[in-house]
Amino acid sequence: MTRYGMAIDLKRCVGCQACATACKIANNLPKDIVYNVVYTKTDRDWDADFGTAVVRGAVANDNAGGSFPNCVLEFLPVQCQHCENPSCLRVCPTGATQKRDDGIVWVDNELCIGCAACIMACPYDGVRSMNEDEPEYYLDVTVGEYDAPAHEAGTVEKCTFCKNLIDRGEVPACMQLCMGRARFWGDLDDPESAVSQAIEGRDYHKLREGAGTDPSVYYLL
Amino acid sequence: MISEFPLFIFTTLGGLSAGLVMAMAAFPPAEKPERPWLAPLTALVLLGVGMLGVLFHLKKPALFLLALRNPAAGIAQEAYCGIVLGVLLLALLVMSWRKGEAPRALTWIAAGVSLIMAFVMGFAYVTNVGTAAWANWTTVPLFVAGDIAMGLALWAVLSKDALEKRPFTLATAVVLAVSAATMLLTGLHFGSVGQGAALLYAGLAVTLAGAAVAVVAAKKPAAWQAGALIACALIGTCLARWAFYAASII
Repeated sequence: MTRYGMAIDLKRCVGCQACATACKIANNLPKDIVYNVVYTKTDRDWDADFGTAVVRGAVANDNAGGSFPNCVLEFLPVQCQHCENPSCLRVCPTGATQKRDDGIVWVDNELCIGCAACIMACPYDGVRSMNEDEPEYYLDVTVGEYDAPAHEAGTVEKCTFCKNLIDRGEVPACMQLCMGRARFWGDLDDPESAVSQAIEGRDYHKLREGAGTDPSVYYLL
Repeated sequence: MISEFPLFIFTTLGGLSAGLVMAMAAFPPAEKPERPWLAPLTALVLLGVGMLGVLFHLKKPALFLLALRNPAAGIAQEAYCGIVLGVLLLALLVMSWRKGEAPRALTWIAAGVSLIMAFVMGFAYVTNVGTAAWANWTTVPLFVAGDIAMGLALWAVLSKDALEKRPFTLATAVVLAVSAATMLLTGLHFGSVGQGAALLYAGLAVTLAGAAVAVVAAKKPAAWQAGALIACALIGTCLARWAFYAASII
């Protein structure tokens, strides 16, 4: 059975923010809504704190930490981890949060009542956004894919793994512009898939595994 | 103001209602009360206001019925319990009003549902693994003990003779002490995850003062004790719950 997942090679990620930008445009995301954030880290403790990002109020995205000559500058792209055992799924009272047979976790905005239970249950802080009010956009025209997710006031949104693109045989938008070729996508159950090949033989980390969610995003170290 | 104020209202008033029903079942009046409908009516009003309050937690309150769809979700379980308890309280109220008293069995069934609701209200937060301060076993006893403590204290006010019964005053003292202990344990957990716990400890002190009042009442009942008990139980629990909801990540 197909089980979609992604591998992100942290040695290749240069923090260019192209994936975050591609996501924002492809999904026609309103102001204040982000699915994908590339954090800057000044340590290599991937679980404790994701780090800083301009979109989260930081002044810049490229400030190294530590003391010369032992400086540290890492980039950590974080989005919904499309967990095998999603904590958001259990707590959603309306069934708006759903998991497809191929492992993609998504939110049906027609069922979402904005209770925010999924936000509080998710161990990966910041991967979900609440549309508090009527969405506002930077542009007067709609951008991105014709079948981009709807954005509705009073509902929660998050990365869909670009299921609209996947369903027509394409890859997620964040893959398409990655200049460092840091992202790998495909069927985790297929040993020949790009993602399985990328993981093969590499050390990897899954975020906050202590939460028991079993994420489908692998960070290659 | 805390972002989760509607939830604060729901679990405080709903919990107070649940605690009152448990107290009504455990310590029924020795003689037929003059106003047998007063306690069920109070519980029903508290539950109703609490459940109305929770609607303000939703961004789309008009669609609240959708929240009943997933029985595994804490919010849905709270709603099921609230609805069942509401129906039972309505039945208790009608019977008390019409016949002067309600069947004991019905009161006990309502008390059982109340206990389940108090547990569910706490457990709903334990499953929120994204909120480290909440996702801990101490959350369940914090809610259950707080609800029962508030309920006993309110029953001391509403019941004519509760404070004159030694088992009641001793039970109230024990429950208030246990509630204070759960605040201490929750405060220690909050500290371990970097969350402020000053209000929890303030709640602990006030709740312990309530326990002391109950001990005094066990030795020598007096009219002022009912008011002091409800004030201490309510203020102590509210301080603890305010601190709890202030830890929300939203």
